[in-house]
Amino acid sequence: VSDREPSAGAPLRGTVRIRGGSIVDPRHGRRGEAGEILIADGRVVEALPAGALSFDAKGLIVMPGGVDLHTHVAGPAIRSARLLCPRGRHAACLPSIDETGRRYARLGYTTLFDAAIASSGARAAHEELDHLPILDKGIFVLAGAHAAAIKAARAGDTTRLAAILAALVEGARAHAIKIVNPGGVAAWREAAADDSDPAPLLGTFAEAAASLRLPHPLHVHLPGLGQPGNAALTLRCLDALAGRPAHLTHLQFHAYGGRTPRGLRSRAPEIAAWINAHPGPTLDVGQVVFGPAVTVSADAPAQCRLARATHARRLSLDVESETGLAVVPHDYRAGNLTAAVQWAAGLELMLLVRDPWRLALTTDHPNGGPFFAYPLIIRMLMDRAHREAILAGAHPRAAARTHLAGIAREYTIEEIAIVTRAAPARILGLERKGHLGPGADGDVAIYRPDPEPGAMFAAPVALFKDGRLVLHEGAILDPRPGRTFHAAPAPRRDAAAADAAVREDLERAASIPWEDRVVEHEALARPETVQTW
Amino acid sequence: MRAPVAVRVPFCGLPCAPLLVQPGTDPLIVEGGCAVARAAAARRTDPGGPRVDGMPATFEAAVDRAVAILGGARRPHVGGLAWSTVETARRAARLARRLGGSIDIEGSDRLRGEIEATQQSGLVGATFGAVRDRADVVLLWRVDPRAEHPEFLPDPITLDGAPRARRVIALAPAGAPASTGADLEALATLRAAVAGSTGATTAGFAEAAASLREARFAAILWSAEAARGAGGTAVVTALGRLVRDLEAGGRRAVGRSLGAAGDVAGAMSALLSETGLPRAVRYESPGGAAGPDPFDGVPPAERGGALLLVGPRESSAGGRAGVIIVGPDLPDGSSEPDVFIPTALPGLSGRGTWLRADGVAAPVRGPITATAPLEEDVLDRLAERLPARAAEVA
Repeated sequence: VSDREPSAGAPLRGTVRIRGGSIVDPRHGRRGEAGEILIADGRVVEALPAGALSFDAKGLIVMPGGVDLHTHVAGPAIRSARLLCPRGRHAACLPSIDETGRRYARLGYTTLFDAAIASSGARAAHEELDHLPILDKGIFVLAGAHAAAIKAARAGDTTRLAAILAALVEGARAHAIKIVNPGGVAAWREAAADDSDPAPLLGTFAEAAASLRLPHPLHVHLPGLGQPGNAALTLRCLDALAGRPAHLTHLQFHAYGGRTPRGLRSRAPEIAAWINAHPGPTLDVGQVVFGPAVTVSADAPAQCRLARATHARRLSLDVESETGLAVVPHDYRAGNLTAAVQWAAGLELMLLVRDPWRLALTTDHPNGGPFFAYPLIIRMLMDRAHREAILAGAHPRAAARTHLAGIAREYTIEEIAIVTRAAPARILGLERKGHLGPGADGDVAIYRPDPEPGAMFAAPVALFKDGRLVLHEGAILDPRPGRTFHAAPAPRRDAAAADAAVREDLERAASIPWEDRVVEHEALARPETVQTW
Repeated sequence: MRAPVAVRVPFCGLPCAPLLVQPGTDPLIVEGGCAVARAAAARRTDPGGPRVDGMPATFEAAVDRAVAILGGARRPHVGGLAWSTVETARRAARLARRLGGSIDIEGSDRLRGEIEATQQSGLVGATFGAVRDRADVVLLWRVDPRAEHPEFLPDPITLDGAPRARRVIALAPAGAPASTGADLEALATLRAAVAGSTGATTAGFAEAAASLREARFAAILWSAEAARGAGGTAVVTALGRLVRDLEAGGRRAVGRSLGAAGDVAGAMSALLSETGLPRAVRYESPGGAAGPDPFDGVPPAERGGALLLVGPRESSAGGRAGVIIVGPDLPDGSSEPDVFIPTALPGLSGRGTWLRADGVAAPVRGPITATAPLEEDVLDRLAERLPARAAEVA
């Protein structure tokens, strides 16, 4: 299969009639009926002039392009991971930026978001992402350990905190705000004891973030990541967030019972029950996949614990006064009880949360495993016998410590389309993504039906990006990079005074001037501002 | 005379005072900053036109000849890049891939020990700003940047602007060690003293160990020179173990090298992004997979095949054939290459990204009007003119 380069000057937006396919577009209630998708100048339209180019999709399944709302593919953290893991099985989880785009495209994905970029790393991350082939993309800026933000949050000063968050979003040209173990990372960085309750901090961050009316709500990495018994803390934190917009990320890592690693068990059903009982918060799971992974996180204390527990190498970096960062290579082995419980807990969450519109499929790449394992996860979701066979081959106590064996639900193809496309696009506030209605971006993935759903989703027949045929039968035909989405915070009352007050904090929190940390809109190759107010 | 313009590109790789550059002068008149940064910026701004075989040539003729050399070479090597933007280094890596050649960063062999130690054992580190803001004890090992860089460790203050205490200990003389073995022995002694040993040690080491034990947040900083040579990996490993000893004792501790001047960190970042390796990379074929360069350590002048050097400062073509230099000028003492395509000064013209040695990015905002093309523009032109990339097998 040969990749090719487009001819020089070829348009970035295409016009095409995709005819005869079975269309799966959950947002518009299309469940596989045959029909046409018409794209003019990169957008889905209702009519096309006769004579437009056509693509014969008869017998094939047509879906919107995939959307990954939480991955790590660029910036300082992945740079550190690549440095620590230059070869071998862990390096295989860290494809180059060029290969990353090509492999996402080869799964039918057209949009991704790098979920954890420090403000001081935003410029370099955007430079790298500008070279990501094909996909549209964006970043979330880290704020939960930022010295100035934590100071304002601890004081309960939502006005000042909102000003800081707005400055960070605008300065980093970010799409959303990510907080990581707020309070915990900051205390660890300060070498201070942390016995404070993180729940009130979460509420303050969520309230301040909501005031900015960004397209995506506060993106929350909860405290207690990976620790036995953390489900109790998770439930308290969820209560603190109840009624406030928030997205809970890699929730599987926060859904454990037990008191020790040896006693680890899944409490995913209780977390799922909370989600089912409380409309509002959305989540992704951070599904574990058996095999090598590279854990990459701003939750430096959690990474320190992992490295000590597994005797693994750790590359750690305190980033200015902004965040921690640490990389630990890891292997999830089916025969290891901890890994088996983690694997099952993730699936339990996805199977027990009733509304797929509140869920996005992720592995928290490369933390739970590489993104190119998505087809394997899809098969597990759609095929109970398959996942129970894997459970049977896992650690002998895994079944007793988890609830997976009793769950009969099997995802439909429509539900897969929701959790890989429609829901993440909606959760991200991207109106033109995740569907195929008029006005949508012409991002279309076309699959060949296969009784084994993993095989189907592993190899789309074709992928259209903005109406251009960018992949066909495995060959990349047009790798040109896509757009960068970044959000515009809403105007705030008394913003000028608050903004001036936080400038000094932001200057003090880094060793380069604030104005040098501000990434100009024009510095991005194909920027697009997303405004939702 | 036009007013000087402030430039904050971290040419020295460290937190540094802004340079004040006088536009319109040639060589540029530069004040402020540190000696390394001033030397980097005080360059010719009008290096003349392109040359082929030492004779003046048009830009297109020079590109034609460069393309002929590179296109006909079996395994061309791309080097330099230590004083170029991240964007230039990325283009260079993609060019090397297209050519099926190799690529390295000038002077990055000095960091080999650090890289190997990190890959073998990991490292608990911090950016310079985190050290500045957090550390109450700083141990300087074979380096002392304070005189040239007062911004590096200013009088510490809290986030509220209140003064706080910091102890800085310079323990070994700056520069390369006379003997790696002696440094390893000294570090072993220091680790033992930190662990509470009262055995044979000097007063200085005992005092340093006591300070480190009492630290809330200890930072250990060393120069790349301290880890140069055959024993460099072992030295950095020992420094990293000292950091972990301190961390295991319940305090925060970080360690880091002061790295290299220029934009070596930026070029490494680009190579990591493009190849998964930080330096010394070879593509197995045009468009093929990247792997370690088996000729790592062989100076460019001693390599066979064509050489494309981008902004070299040290690399000498050594009078050999098949050499193309793209950059603001030729390195001192360099022989005339087959092709010289002069460019604007990276960091002072054009736009782009420059990484400090700790990986923190700074913008290039180009206050000096370019009188020659940018390095990245020349690489783009070469890429356009080279044959299309060979088919990639998926």
